[in-house]
Amino acid sequence: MAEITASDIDKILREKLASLQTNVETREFGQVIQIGDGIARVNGLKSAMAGELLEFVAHDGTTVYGLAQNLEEDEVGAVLLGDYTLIKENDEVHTTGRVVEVPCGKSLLGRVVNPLGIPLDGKGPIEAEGYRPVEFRAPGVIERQPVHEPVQTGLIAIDAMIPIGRGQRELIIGDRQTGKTSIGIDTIINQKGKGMICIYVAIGQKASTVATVVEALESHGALDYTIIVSAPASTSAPLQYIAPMAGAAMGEYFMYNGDDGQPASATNPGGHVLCVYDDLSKQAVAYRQMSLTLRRPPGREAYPGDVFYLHSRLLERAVKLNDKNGAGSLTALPIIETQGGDVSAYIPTNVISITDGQIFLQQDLFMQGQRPAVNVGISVSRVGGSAQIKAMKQVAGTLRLDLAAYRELQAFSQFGSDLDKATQQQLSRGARMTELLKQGRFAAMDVEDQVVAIFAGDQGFLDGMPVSDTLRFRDDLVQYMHTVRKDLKDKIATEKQLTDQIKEELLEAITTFKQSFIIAKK
Amino acid sequence: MPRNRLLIKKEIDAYAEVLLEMGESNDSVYSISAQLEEMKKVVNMHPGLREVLANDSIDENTRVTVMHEVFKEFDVELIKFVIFMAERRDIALLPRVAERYDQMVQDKFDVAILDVATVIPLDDELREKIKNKFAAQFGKEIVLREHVDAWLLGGMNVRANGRRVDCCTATRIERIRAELSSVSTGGER
Repeated sequence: MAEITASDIDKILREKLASLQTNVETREFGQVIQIGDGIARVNGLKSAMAGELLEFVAHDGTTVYGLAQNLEEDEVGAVLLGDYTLIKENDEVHTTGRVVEVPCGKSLLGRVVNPLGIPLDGKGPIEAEGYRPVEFRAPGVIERQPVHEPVQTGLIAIDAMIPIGRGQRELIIGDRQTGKTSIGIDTIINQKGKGMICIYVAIGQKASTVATVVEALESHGALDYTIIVSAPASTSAPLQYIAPMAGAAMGEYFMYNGDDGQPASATNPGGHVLCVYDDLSKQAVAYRQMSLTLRRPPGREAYPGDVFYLHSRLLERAVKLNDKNGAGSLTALPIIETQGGDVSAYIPTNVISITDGQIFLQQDLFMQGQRPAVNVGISVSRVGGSAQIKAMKQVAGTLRLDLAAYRELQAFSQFGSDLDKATQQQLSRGARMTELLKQGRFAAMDVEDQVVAIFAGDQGFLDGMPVSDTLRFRDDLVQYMHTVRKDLKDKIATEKQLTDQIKEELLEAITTFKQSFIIAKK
Repeated sequence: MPRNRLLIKKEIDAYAEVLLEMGESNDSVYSISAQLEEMKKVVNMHPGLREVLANDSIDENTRVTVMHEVFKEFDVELIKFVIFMAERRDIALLPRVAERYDQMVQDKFDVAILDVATVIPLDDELREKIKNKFAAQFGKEIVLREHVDAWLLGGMNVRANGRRVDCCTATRIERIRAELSSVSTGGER
């Protein structure tokens, strides 16, 4: 750490005094008439705007910022973003003419910040390249283009059957302890070297959980391209409320600007961003608390009437911009926690209807050892094949349907044992393919490896083997392709499709590998 | 049960009109305005007083005594008026009535009411200077409500229509304090 000398301090103080504005200040002002639960009622402020940043001046001169929410005839209802215990009745409030903004830029990468952009990781102050408003209009139809590039999660079950595209909004939904966060974190880790900026927004979580996430990202070298916005359960409801929007604002900076920091255009491509909002149910709860204390009328499950709009305007900011606007993208992975698997509750149905698909995680699958515990039957991606490389489409085209048929047969077969050969074959294949989709944490696979694994299963290479050998076979095959047949793996990566020649070579390679696998096993 | 806001607005208008009539008949329009402003401040600053005045379980005589005690330097008619408001459980409307009253006075007499706070009382020369300066800005005759506030240390504060021109020494010193205390040589806040 650099040493601080008396002359440094003297210099900084002189600079500060030189830049001091001593002109007469004309400002609109009001007074706090009531305060409690982080909510203030302020009289005056006739020209306050909805969502405007308000300055509350405490008795000791400390400034606490607030957000104008309810604009009523004779008063303004505001939520406080800082330490509201400092503010008392009759304290002064000023309008600022600004909305809430957060610092943005590359200097935030690798940092843990609160929803106002203040660092929480003890790594020193952040020199922001710019500021962006927390609330920002989502791009219109003309500025967009259809989603067509994949976001590789590294998880076979998702990349093969529920593909996510850059600019898509894919919901991750499930009960507690079903691996929702793990999917988000694995996806972030898998973006290494893919030119994607990742933003992980932790809302209403335990601070220790956030620390674990930071640790995981750091140990896998993913922190360098990730910003963590942390609003743990101990922060005030307003901060939890703005956290996902702050994360989106930080992400938008990279999408709307090129690498040089200048606005993105046809010649200056914008960046690609992945935002994980973990989780929006807690944000909705924070918003409900705010709304109830602001005396807004409660609706279903006591949520305010505009909770749908809260989530829709956030998720509409996920976009794939057209080439004229730099072709940047912001992919959103919102997470929703259900209670007892009830997806028909208010917030889950809202977010399901807003997003372009959902990944359902089920507790019973998780307990059976199917991890990620994705229920591929009811999980869906509405962007579909356009977010997959052709090779994946070729091998995984019918996988969803095959697995659906397998599950149906599996349920039916429990009633009797007299099954014809074709059915037995289908059950055997289904069991192995289901096994093939299992993946541990931090064990992301390249898309080429996924293609090879599914190809092997689809071509019946797993059929004669015990189900328990499936995972070892898959992992060894991937290893084999990385070492012995790297040429073939590279060919798939370059061509991005399985030509007849590649298919032939692949069949030959897998056959050779299988022989050695069986010999090694014996 | 919450009342209709339009009805409340009409009620506020009625209170303000009565006050204006009272002021005109006693030739105390501006004095009422100044006293209402002070009353508003006192009621705002003391939530306990607000509760006592609006509390039905406290007998009327006690409430009247409290009012006389708190506002003993104010106009007797005005105190009666505020007690009447309290009896009708409308004391919470006092700040809005005061605001509406000022609005009516400004509209009716085509003047602008300015609150001027200084450390020492204004002399005639300064009073004229202030009036002339703001008359040019507002395009109206200026009526000053003068306040003495030692906290300002120097200079003055002028308030009108919810805006404030702040040129007091205390604010400038406060600004310097805030600027210097935000000096950072590294580390997080």
